[in-house]
Amino acid sequence: MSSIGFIFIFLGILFLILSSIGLLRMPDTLTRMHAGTKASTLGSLLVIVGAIFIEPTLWFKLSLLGFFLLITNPLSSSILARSTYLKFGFLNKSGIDDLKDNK
Amino acid sequence: MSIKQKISIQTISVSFVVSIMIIILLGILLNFTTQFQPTLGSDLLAINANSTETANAVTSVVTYFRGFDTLGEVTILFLSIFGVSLGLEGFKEKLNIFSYQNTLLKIGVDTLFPIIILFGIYVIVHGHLSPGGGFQGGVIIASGFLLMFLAKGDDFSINHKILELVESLSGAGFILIALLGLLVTDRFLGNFIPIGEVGELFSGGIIPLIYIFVGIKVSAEITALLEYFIRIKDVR
Amino acid sequence: MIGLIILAIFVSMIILAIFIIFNRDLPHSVILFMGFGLGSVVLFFLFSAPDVALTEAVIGTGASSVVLLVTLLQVRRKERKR
Repeated sequence: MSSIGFIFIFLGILFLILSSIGLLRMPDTLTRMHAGTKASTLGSLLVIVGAIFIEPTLWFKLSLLGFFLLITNPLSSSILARSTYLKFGFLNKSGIDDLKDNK
Repeated sequence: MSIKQKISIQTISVSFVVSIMIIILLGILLNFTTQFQPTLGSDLLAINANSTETANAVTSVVTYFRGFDTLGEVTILFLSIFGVSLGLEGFKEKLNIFSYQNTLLKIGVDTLFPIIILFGIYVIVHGHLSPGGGFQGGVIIASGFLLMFLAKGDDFSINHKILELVESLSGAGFILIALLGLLVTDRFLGNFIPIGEVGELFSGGIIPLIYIFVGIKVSAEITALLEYFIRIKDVR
Repeated sequence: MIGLIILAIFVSMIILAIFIIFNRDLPHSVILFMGFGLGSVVLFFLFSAPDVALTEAVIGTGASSVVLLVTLLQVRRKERKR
């Protein structure tokens, strides 16, 4: 049981390391944010799942923590992306600008 | 001496100090063990096991053995908020400086705000059982209100009269409980409520009551401070 | 082992403090100050003071940085060139 938990925690830490490498290596703000928020959300959730496997009596508090992460992390990434758009303008090369009307 | 030389001398001295600190810390921390010699802490734990019987010994030190100091800390916090409000009251224009409107943010904050308030109340009420207490829970509640100030803009506002009323009533409640302890038992902040079982929610005598009052007071004060800082405009 | 972790956090906190002092861009200083508070949170927890760690986590990284950032918005962004 606990070895499964350690495998989950290892995967989570791997995702966190990958997200920090992406945060350092990516060229501009939006791609950096992509690496920094999505991968770190998945990494934190995997760490929480591993902790539930190691210590099953704490499942309610830990799943509450995961719920909190699932609310806050995508919300803050969305706000960061929107404020980046408002400050630096249009960065995309594909020519599709969905936020043009509701600035 | 030119500016460049000055900066380089500064850098050299700073790095010298840092290297000395690192060497000292290396010496200390490589010998660091978690088994300390028994000192004042174990004495306090022994007294705690006999008198107040809270699961969190820090709480009984803060609110029972050193309860008068806690009263002083709360008074210091009150005086600092009083000074800030006295200095910032005169500026006329009172709009929220964060005028950023976003529907997603508003909905998310509406979901998050009750959870944060509930967590703060949990930390305050369970102060004598787990880490945390009045100050910590009060600051958590204030940070929930800060989230509302940041996200809602001018749609969300708090009446300062109500904040002042809540704050002064909770401070009066603290002193009232302390004076009741002086009347019933022989000391200021004496324990006049029977101590229940260790580890249950209703235990520890007056310690949870005092921490609840401290939590309400701290949350009202920090919320008032943050509201003053959010709403000022054109100070320069 | 735990001594090595504490040592690493101490050294990074000292380096962060030097960056905070010598940074010309004041909002960057405030963000680094939040990192400094985070390091002190971990230190308080490792020295078995979770009460203080909880307070520092809320005040040091939340409230005080918001107060500092709002004050910087009111005043000016860059430090004046010497």
